[in-house]
Amino acid sequence: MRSFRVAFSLLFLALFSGQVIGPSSAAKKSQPEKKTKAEKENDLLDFNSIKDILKEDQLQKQAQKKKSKGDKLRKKRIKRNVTRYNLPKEDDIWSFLSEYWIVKNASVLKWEFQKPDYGLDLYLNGVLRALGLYQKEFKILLLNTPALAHAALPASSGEYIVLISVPFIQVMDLTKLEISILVLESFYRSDLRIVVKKVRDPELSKILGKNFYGKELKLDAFKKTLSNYDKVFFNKGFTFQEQFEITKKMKLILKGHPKYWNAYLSLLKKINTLIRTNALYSKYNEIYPSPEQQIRWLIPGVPLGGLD
Amino acid sequence: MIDLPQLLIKLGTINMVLLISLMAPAPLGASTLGASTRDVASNEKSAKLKLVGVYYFMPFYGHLHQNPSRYSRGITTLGCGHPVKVFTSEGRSRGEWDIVKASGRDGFLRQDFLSPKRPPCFEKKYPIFVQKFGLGIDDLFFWGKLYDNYVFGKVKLP
Repeated sequence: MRSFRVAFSLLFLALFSGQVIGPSSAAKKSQPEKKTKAEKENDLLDFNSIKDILKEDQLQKQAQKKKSKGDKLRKKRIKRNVTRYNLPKEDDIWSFLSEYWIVKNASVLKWEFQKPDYGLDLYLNGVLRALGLYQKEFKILLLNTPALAHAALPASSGEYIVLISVPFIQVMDLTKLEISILVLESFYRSDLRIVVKKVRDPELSKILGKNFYGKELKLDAFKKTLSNYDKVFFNKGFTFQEQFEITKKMKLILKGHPKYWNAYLSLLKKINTLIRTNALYSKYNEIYPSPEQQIRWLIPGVPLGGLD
Repeated sequence: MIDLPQLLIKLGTINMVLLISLMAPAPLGASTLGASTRDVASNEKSAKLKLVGVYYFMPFYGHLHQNPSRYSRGITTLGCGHPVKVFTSEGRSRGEWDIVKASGRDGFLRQDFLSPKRPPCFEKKYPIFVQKFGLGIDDLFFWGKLYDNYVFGKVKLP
């Protein structure tokens, strides 16, 4: 009896909690073709049934006016209803997909844990200002796993979503400056849209920004894109060419700032040592090839084995 | 063996119990994710609260917290655009965390999650798409947690 009671209470809550939980309210609101209040008011009179009387009273013009107003309201409602079936535009979709991927991979990425306040936001803010990089909005998520060292996820324009592993930071004893430089590199990875190009399913470009009113929405392109996130960050990683593009960009920005330039070099050296000595990070080279080569791109002529 | 009259009496009793349980729960709009209707603002006990105004929740999803800490228990889950009443303790200005009332529940929300104007919300812009994506209740919960765990930053022009 108790479980029966609980079940009914839950049913009651589920029915009336739509205000708090978005999609269910969205679902309710999306039920199409309900007349608006203005339309209902306009529809109170059926002018066809009193056509003759109106003719006699010369009120036909007024009736016509009211009818056209009703038509306009109906068209407006239909148009509004159709826009509810819009698919996100290119600029809107990426933050949603990236966060969805983070949410779905919560157990792998292990981002839900209590961590000290590293003051990373303030420090990074200072670094970006010093480099003259403004109008940047970022979300950094610390991971409690070595499974993914760092990642720049695709985000909507003007926004960055960066994941960094705390064990990865700790094992190399990275300074705040080095962490900030690592985040900066992630920002450029986003700016160059390297990840977007890698994860986007070809079909996705064809449907983004379109309307699917009266059609069946196939989510395959979205699902394939999400599975590409896994491939990129856990298996395939980036190519030498892509790494070269990023290193070139970092070189250009940091060259005029010796402090940051040295921090970047120091960071790459630490990573290079780590992947050679720690089996947990041996796969890092496959995802981000390769710190050793990156150092050579920064300082041409550095001999093999002469990095430490 | 239970005969028919006895069964009817039993069903009647169940209905009465149901009626009582339905009249008892949290106010309308309270999320099933919320666990308690405890008055959190009473943590500020003796301090009188002054209404600052109605604000709107900005992140995609987030948790109304029992205490002014990202790790404190979530009372309920709020979606983007959800209106909340913001209060301050008398004689104090708003801090990093606001004392709020949302869906009949008292709790705390980060001030930078609130906007005095209705924010542009993804799920309001693309309601059917979000609906078709089929976010489950656990997804919404973790999405709220995600916003508790992010380190946010913004570099504005000097």
